[in-house]
Amino acid sequence: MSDEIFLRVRNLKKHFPVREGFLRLRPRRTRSSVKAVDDVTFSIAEGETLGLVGESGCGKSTTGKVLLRLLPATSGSVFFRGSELLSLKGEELRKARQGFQMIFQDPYASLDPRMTVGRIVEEPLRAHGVKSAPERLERVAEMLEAVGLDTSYLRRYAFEFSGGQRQRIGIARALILRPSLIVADEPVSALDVSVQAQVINLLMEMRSRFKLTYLFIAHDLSVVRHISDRVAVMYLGRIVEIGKKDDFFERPLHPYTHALLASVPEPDPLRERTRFILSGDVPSPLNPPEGCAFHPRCPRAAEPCSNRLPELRDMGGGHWVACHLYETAQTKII
Amino acid sequence: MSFPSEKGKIWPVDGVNLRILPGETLGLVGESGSGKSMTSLALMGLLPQPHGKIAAGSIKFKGRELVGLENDELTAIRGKNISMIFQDPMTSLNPVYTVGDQIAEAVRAHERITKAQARKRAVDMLAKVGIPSPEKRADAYPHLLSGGMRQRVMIAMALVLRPELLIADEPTTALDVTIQAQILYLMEDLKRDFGMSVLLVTHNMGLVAENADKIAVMYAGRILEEAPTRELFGAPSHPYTRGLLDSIPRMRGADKELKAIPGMVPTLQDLPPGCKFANRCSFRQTRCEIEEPPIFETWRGHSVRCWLFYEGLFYDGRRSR
Repeated sequence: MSDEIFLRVRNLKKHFPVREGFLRLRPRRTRSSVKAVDDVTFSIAEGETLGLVGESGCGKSTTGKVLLRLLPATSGSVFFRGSELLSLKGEELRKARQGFQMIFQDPYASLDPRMTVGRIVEEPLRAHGVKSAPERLERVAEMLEAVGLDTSYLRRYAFEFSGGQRQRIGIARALILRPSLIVADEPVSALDVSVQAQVINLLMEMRSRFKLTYLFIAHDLSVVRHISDRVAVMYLGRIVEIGKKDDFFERPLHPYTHALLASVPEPDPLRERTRFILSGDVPSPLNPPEGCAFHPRCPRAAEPCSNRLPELRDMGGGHWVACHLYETAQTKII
Repeated sequence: MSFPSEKGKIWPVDGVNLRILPGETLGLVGESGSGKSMTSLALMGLLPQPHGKIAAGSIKFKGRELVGLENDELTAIRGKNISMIFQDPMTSLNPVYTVGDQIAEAVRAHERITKAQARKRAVDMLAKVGIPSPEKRADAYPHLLSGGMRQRVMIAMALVLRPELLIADEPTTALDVTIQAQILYLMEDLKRDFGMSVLLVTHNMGLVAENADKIAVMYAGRILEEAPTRELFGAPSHPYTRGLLDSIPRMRGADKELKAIPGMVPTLQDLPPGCKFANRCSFRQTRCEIEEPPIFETWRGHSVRCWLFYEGLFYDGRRSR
């Protein structure tokens, strides 16, 4: 049923043109482009949390920014609660923006040092035309309390606070307009372990209290496992596997997912370690390999991998994988 | 160790005792501001100058006292006997020299050999740390290499003189997880080949669980608990260590609610008089707020700085050390 669709991203692409030449003196001679996000398709149900993981440069943050219209998309569609986000303009877009917000990684860089905490959290209300000052103040105070900050902080400046408290301020700012979709881009990776748990717990509490849907972008797989219902992995601009959390962590399919999971050091010295490590680096997105972008590092690469791009296929139960290994397996069964 | 500050002297590291045996890896874990990096810098005689001072204590390396050595004596030891790799390979490498020249320079600073010989040593070492076509890469400038490659260059530079002790301060924190795994296995292999000792400084409990023989947990400039790795994870004793382990999300097993440690690390300018962890501790007693606990040895090689063990189950009447 179409009215059940909360967020659906289809064939989303974001290509950054690369200008060549010294000091970019000839900007018109655009030759190549970085395909930061290349044909990404996924959907999130209302109230669900999708974890989006991958290594640096895989396009996970760009995906988040493009779907919130913080960066223009090259092509594709983003369908959010009954409207096509990428085609909205002007007043319609401004209205729609109340429905989705972003939480950023760096609580030091994302808060204006010249604004008080009250002003930072209030800003979205002003921008979206809540004219009455007492009403704004009331809503700000309410929100600060919800994220566990004392209302006496209203007139203080962000630099007076620790990383964890700043992240609480960032969360209060994101939630003040009561959005339904939150894109959280590495919200806890700048924090110390003991504080990280406080913020993860707060995000989960806010999720049930305000009925939020999260796109949770992170590189830390254990954090993603803790907070997500489903997980998607990106590699060089494409989703290579997506599935329910348990399927993903207990029965991973893509060789890259296997390698990622095996690479995470675990706080358990008795665990048997599998020395399954990838050789080589992530290739440059300027010049990605032909065929499956993972094949130069893949321990199971075969002949089709270097010529043909594998499509995402449903392996049952909403578990999708883009890998030739499973293409042949499936055709054999059929 | 002390630093002057607006509110008088601060003590980023206070009463720290560590011992590393030949061939052993000691994991030094702690959150930001715990003093773990300052401890490792002090070992190298690299405290920020002119203000950083070792106020008291001793650092013995193979029986030789390092505290109070003249700078040129320290320079002879640094790199040759003890070397260090840092978290960020981009800021630790010189951008205007090729990586081969930088490694060769380290060799020539300690050994009287020709430029050609030094270059050969550099290229050999680059090959050893798994850099493909090392002959070619030796002529590359740091910015041309990826993060993982730069960290390999740092390791090559640190190990080219075959030091007996390697201090690795968050060696993989800036790297992606698959590259982190490569670097850690590389360090493990090199450690075995060279028979060196390693001081692994990190905030990541997973890293020390997999790579250290024993672990010291630091908080507010003190070591709160120290134990062999399996012992520490099997029987974590200090409330802070337990809190840390309970607050990390896990990769397997049932989902449990994360038990966050309430509050935050006290600033060094106003540390509480008693136990530095008391204000966040759920086992706090009156005594904890007044008097700092000494170190109790609860088991062989397992020591805890906590009053719970004063008359606790494991207390065997000795004050360790």
